Amino acid sequence: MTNAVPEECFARGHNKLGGVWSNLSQDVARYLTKSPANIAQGDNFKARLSAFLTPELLCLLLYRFSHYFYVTRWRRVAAALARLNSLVHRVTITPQSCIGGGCRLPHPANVTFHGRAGSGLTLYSLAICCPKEPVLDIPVAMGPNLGERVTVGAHAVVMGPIHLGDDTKVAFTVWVDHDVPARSLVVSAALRQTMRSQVADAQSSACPYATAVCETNEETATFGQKQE
Amino acid sequence: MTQDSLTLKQTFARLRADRKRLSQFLGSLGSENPHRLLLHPSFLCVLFYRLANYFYHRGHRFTARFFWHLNVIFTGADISAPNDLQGGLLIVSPPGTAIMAKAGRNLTIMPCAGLGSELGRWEDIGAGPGLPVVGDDVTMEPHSGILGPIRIGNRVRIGAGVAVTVDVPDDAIVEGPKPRIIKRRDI
Repeated sequence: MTNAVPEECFARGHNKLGGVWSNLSQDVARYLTKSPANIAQGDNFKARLSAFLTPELLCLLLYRFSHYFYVTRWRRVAAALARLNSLVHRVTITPQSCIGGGCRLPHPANVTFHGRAGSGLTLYSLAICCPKEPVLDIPVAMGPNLGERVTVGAHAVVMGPIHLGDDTKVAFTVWVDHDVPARSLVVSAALRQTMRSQVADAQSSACPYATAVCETNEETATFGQKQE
Repeated sequence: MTQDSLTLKQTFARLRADRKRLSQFLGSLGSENPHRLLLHPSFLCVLFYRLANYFYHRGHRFTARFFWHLNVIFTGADISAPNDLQGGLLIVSPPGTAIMAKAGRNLTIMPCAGLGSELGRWEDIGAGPGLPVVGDDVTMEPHSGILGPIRIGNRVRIGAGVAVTVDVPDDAIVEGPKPRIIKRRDI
C-alpha cells in the first residue's frame, strides 16, 4: 500500500486552486444556513467575511490548503500547514484526508480526522475518525470512508477502513468499527433504551432521534441483531 | 530502573525506544518519511515529557514545569512531569491527551484517551494518590480512560469510549456495548 492520492481528490478538483476555492465557498455557504438567525442575516459580503473569520472556517481553510499542497506533491508544506492547524486550532486533520465541500466543524478543538468523506460532512466536538493503527501519517485507505452528508456526533469514534453510507448519522459517544448502510442512525444500546422510555412517556419530539426510534420500533430489533 | 535514580542516559534510552517504536510503525505502514521525526507531533510531545520528567527528578522543578507548559502549548498533550512512563510510549494525536499514571513499556495512547485519578478515591498503589498503575504493551483506543487507583495488567486493550475504574488482568480486552443501527425514516 502506497501513499497514492485517492482518485476522488482529482474528481473533486483538490489539485486545483479553483477546486479549493469552490470547496471553501461551499463550507461558507453551509455555515451561513446553519440556523434561522444565520439565514435571516442573509448571504452578503459582510456575512461571508464574518463567517470566514470563525475558527471553524479558518481551520477548514488551513486543511484545504494543506490537502491541496499534499495532492500537488508539496508534501512538506502540507505537513507544516497541518501542524499549524494542530497548533492554533487543536484540530488534527491529516493532509492526506479527502473531504468534500460543505463541511462543518461546529467546535473544532480536538477533532481528529484521517480518512475520506463526501460533501456535507459534519464533525461535532471531539469526534474522531481514524485508522485502527496507532499512527496517522499512513495511507488514507486505512482510515474510514464516509459517504455524502454524514454526521459524526460529539465524542463519537469511527475507526478502521470501514464505509459509512450516505446520510448516516452517528450519535454522540458511539464507536463504530464496521460498515454502516446508507440512511442509518447509529446509537449506543443505552442511549436507545433512554430514547424509548422518553417516547413512551411523552411521545415528545424534543429528542431529534425520538421520531426515528418510534416509527421503526419493530424493524429496529431485527435490523440491529442482523448487524451484530 | 527506578525514578529516583533517573539519569540523562536513562532518559535518552527511553527516548530512543519511543523514537524506534514510532519509526517502526510509520515505516511498516507506508509513511513516506518514517525517520524524519523531530517535528512530528507524536514524537515532539514525548520529547517534551521526557525532558520535563528528567528535570523533575533532578530537582529542577521550574524547568520541568516549563517543559510541561511547552508541551501543553505546542502539542496540546498534558503529560505531567512526575509520571513514570517507560520507553516505547506512543501518542497518536497529542491534542486532548491527558496522562497522570505509572506505566510500563510500549504504552499506546490513541486520540483523546487519558489516564488519571477519579474523584473521591485517593489510595496510593504506587503511582501517587489516586493514580493508576499500568502494565506493559497496553493500548488505549480513542476516548477511553483509566481512572482511579487501579492496576491494569500486561497486553491489555481498552476499547473506544470505555472508562475503566476496576482492576484488569493480563491479556484482556475491555470493550463497550456494540452500537445499534437504526434505519432512518426522517429523510
